[in-house]
Amino acid sequence: MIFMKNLLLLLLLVFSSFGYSQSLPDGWSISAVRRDDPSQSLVPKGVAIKYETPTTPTGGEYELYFVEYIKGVENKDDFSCLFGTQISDKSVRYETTPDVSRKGHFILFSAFYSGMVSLSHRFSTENENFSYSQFEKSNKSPVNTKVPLLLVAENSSMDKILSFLKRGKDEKLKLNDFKKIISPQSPVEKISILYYIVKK
Amino acid sequence: MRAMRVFITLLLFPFFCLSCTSVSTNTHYKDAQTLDYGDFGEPVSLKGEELVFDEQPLKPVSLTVIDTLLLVRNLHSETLFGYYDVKNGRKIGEGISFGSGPEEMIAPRIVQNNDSMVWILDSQLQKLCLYRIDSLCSGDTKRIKEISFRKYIEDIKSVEDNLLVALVYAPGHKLLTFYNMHGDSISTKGELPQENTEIDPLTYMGDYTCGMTVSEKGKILVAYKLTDLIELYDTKGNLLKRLHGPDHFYPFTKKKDYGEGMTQAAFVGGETREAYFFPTSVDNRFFVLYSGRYTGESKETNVADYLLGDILVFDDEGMPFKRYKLDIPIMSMTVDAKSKTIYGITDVPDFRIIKFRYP
Repeated sequence: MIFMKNLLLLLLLVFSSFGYSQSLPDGWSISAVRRDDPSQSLVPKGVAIKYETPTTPTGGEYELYFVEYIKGVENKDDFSCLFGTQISDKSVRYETTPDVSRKGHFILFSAFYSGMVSLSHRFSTENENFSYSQFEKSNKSPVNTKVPLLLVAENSSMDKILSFLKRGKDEKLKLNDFKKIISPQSPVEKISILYYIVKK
Repeated sequence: MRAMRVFITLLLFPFFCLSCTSVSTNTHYKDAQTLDYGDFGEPVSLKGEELVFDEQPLKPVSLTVIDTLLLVRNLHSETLFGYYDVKNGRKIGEGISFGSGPEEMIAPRIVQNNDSMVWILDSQLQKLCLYRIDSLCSGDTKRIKEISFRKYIEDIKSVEDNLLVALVYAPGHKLLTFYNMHGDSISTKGELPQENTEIDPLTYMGDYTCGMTVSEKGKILVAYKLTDLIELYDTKGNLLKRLHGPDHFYPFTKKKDYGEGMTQAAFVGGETREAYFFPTSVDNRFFVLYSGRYTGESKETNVADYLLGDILVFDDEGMPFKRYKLDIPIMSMTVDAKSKTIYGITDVPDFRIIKFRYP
């Protein structure tokens, strides 16, 4: 199945495609560069995070999602899937830039090696600023398992989550924090997660 | 492969848009001359030959030839471009990393070159960068010049010293927008070809999506993708010629509603037809890949919509000159006038670069 979706008037595309995938990444790397040129009106401001997921070409699908969770329940919509590809290369590469510079408005700018980009938005009901936390690097990508990359929440919610998880503001989240964040014990109702999943 | 097809589709139709248009209806184009296949004379058949390199390009999706140097945008390589010598079949080098950092790019496309320099547009980062070709080939990605834009630029070319012409799909912009070398918009000019019809400005983004090339003499050729329409403009943006044909069809898209005020102009299988792609100017001639097929026709023909086997050539005055029939349909095209060679890409059965010599 192939999706091509329009998110913005400004011609930025969300697209996803699904084919066969394969093998499992056994790790990924990230690096970051600063992106802060204000003249680039379409390009959000913030730190761009690069992901590179090694794969072994044996067939399978790689899908990247940015999904809202409400009371621990995944609330997928037509725009949740940012990218999907048949895994046929030694790695899947992309870059995301979380933009928290706007009051009450979060933007996730994602760019993919094919040249496609997507913009995802979250709006605060209380006009509150957003913040984000990265998850630690995963050395494995088990089949049909969500591997979290980024947690996004309004500032007050993020404070509660970090306190609940006993993590510092600059500390990376543990992978198993994902389950706690969406558990019934979680102190917040609404968060968003960027994650990828490898499907056989 | 499916992901690849999406990418190719996007290359051909760089975006879908928010549009208020419903099914497009046109009766005729104003100031247009009609054009028929017969105007090109007897079609000339060209036989394709696969280019083989010591290190093959990994999923090439676009290419530019500069004498014997072939610059190829690869999808499955460490860096975005690979450089190849077509004379001796060797890979010379590669360069430009993916990303939004310094010297990186996200969606690069070579939009123009001369013998020593090349302009690369990153439409997503809204930057036009000038590189020395010999530096690129030696792995140096330092830019000689970098111009940032405040709008999404679909395509851009240099037409005169210190003057750029661009396709900008945004409200307030007409067909052609002229910029200075600082990225400041100077003027916007060019009207839609429809007569007596009120058209939403955003229709540009759906029905009238097009490509553009500039001849050595500064003539601007605009080739539409969803109607078989060719236009020629001067460097001031004045229309010189409008040619409708050879199949004489009009854009046909349908409003698709995604809710929350978001709609797009979508193709309609069996109704929407595709026209001109990858206009290229060499030696004061315009080469354009032509389709004429209905979208979705590939299900019956087994030839993907994006693989095209017809090249129509126009002279510098916009007059039909030649029609070439390729035995291997291609996507993307670059032409070397010196060696009279056309280079293209096919993905059947695998990704390969094909060359065609023309008389």
